[in-house]
Amino acid sequence: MKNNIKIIYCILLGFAVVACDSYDFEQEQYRNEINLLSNSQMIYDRQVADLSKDRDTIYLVAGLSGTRNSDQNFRVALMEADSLIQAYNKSNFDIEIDRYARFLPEECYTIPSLEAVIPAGETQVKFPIYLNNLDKLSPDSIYFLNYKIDPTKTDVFNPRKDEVLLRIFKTNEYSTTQRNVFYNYTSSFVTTLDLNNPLIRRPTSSNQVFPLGENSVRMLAGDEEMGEYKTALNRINERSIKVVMGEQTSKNPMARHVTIEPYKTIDVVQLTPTDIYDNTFLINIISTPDGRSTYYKEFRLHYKYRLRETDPYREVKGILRMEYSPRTDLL
Amino acid sequence: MRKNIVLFGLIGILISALGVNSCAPDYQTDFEVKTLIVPDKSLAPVFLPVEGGESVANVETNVALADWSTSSNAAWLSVDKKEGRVTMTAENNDTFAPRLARVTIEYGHQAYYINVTQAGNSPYLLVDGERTGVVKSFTAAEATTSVVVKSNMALDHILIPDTADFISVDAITDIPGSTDEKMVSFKISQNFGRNVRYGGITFQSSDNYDHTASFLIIQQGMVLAELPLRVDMLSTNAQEPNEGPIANLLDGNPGSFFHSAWSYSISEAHYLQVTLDDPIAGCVFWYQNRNNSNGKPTDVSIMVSTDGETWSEMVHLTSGLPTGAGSTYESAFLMLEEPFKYFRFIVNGTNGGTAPTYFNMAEFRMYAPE
Repeated sequence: MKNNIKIIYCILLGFAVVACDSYDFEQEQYRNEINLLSNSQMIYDRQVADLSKDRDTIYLVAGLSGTRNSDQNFRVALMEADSLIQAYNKSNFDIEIDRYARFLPEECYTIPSLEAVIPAGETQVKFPIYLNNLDKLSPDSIYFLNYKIDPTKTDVFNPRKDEVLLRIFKTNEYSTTQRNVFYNYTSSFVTTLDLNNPLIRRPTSSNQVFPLGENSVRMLAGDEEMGEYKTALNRINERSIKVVMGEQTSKNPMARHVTIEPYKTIDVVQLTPTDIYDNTFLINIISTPDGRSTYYKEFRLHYKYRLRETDPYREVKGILRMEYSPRTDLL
Repeated sequence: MRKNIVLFGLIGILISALGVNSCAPDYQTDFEVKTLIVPDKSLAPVFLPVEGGESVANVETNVALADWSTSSNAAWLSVDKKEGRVTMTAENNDTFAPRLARVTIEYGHQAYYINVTQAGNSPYLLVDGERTGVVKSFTAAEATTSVVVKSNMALDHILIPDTADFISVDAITDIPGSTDEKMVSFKISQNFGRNVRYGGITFQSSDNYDHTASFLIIQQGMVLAELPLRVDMLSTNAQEPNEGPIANLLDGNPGSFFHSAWSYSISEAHYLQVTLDDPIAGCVFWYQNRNNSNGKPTDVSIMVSTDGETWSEMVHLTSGLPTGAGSTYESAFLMLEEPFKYFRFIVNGTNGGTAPTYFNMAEFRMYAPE
């Protein structure tokens, strides 16, 4: 009797083991549907165009859902759209039309093909978008490309992920539009050149720096204030200067000459170098005796400016400094 | 049963022995650690003379020569690696400023940095033989002055501060027989103010912006004398008959006052006129307000004339005029190309209204250059 019971237990155990092996993991667990890669708000904003390149490439990605690679090709075709950008503007800015996001101008991008195939065995295909002339873009505006799947030329696709807003960011060695970049004033002076009111201020504030072109940035002159950024367009245009980086200095290869120009209407005059305010952009490496180093990007500026013709000039001797990690920049 | 216990015991001992044996270190395999070290002494900043030279940094390493690298970030400093050493070489520095370079010695992710500085040629830049301390003084009249600037650098920047806009560069000329000297001339405009004014002139070269020379220009203020005004020189188009005769403007008593018409009206702006004995080229006028709160001029045109018929506006003052009781105002020096004999103080507006409206004043004076 005992032996019979043992035999029954063994048979049951054998069935249990065999039963676990019967599940078919080899079969597709979901549908193979094409989708356009984006976040939950239908925006793809993970790529940044590098202004230091003549032409940089970002990608619009079409993916294929499913648990296994498909054994057949899937056709994908895109077409221009505008529904998402309209929805974005309406939901974010409503009647503030001046702040609406814009389409990336046609002169700034090229898409070689709007049709592609996800080959059998692959799960995605990338549509390259070549970006150029990005220096013509305002760093204060939001730029998108809006594309959706062309249903007539695309195999089965997910209707809830058939459109995407591709956010266009730009970056250079000094700043980026992907996040706010601030340089801090240190050892700086703003002097009003007026005998009757020779006011000297020592700003310790920070100055937001915006990328313009490969080697140019925009910042507020002196210690001018931008105020609320959402309503600052006129103040930015009146009070901003453009700093253009040039060749290495003969004195220090870590420094580059800069040229200071008006951004829009400001009256700005670049003055000759004096002391440490030598009109350079410097990679300043401050090392401690134990061998560790702190890395700074520094604008060392000497200029004068005025906002109105009747105002006295203000002389600016400014060090604008931002700590950075060269290792992080390589990531 | 006892046999099984013995058997299991032997198996346990055997497994334990194998386990202990497997943990024994492998002393036979030869592990070679690659290292590269630049001693602290070689990491000290290097200073090279202006004529150039060499400096050697020691490298303690067992890495093959081809597998580690060295580089310089400046074109003027070359680096050469040999077994156990890096040689840094600089040629003559033709510039007038010291220059910097950074040498990197690296193996894999390990890097050492050496800062190298090479001296530049010694610059000289002198104004009338001095780098600082030369002072040139002038009267209020228009003037010119020159200084001799001696330098072995390019003289390409002459800095005149915004606060010294009365000074301008007139000419830069070579001095015959001298290769490193130039004559720099300046124009100094007439000082129409009473105050002394100063201008520090700085010479600077793009060969070395840090090496500057400067001198100071001092210009005396204008010396003005009060014009001896008489009552018969004064007139107005709107004398108030009930109070404030115009003669009160010259009595030296701030408690008395002149008042223009309030008991009747005229169709033009009220004014005060001075008819001088002789034409003058320019003047400063001064007045003191009556010691009350109304009738204070806030918008005034100063018109002048040579014949009392044709008038020219010398200045239109719309700001800066005081409205306080007993307050005073002194104008800047005012002048036109033509001398004038007739001076008219026309009140376009007061703190009580716009012309035609009354105004009042306690004292009035005029000054002209001596």
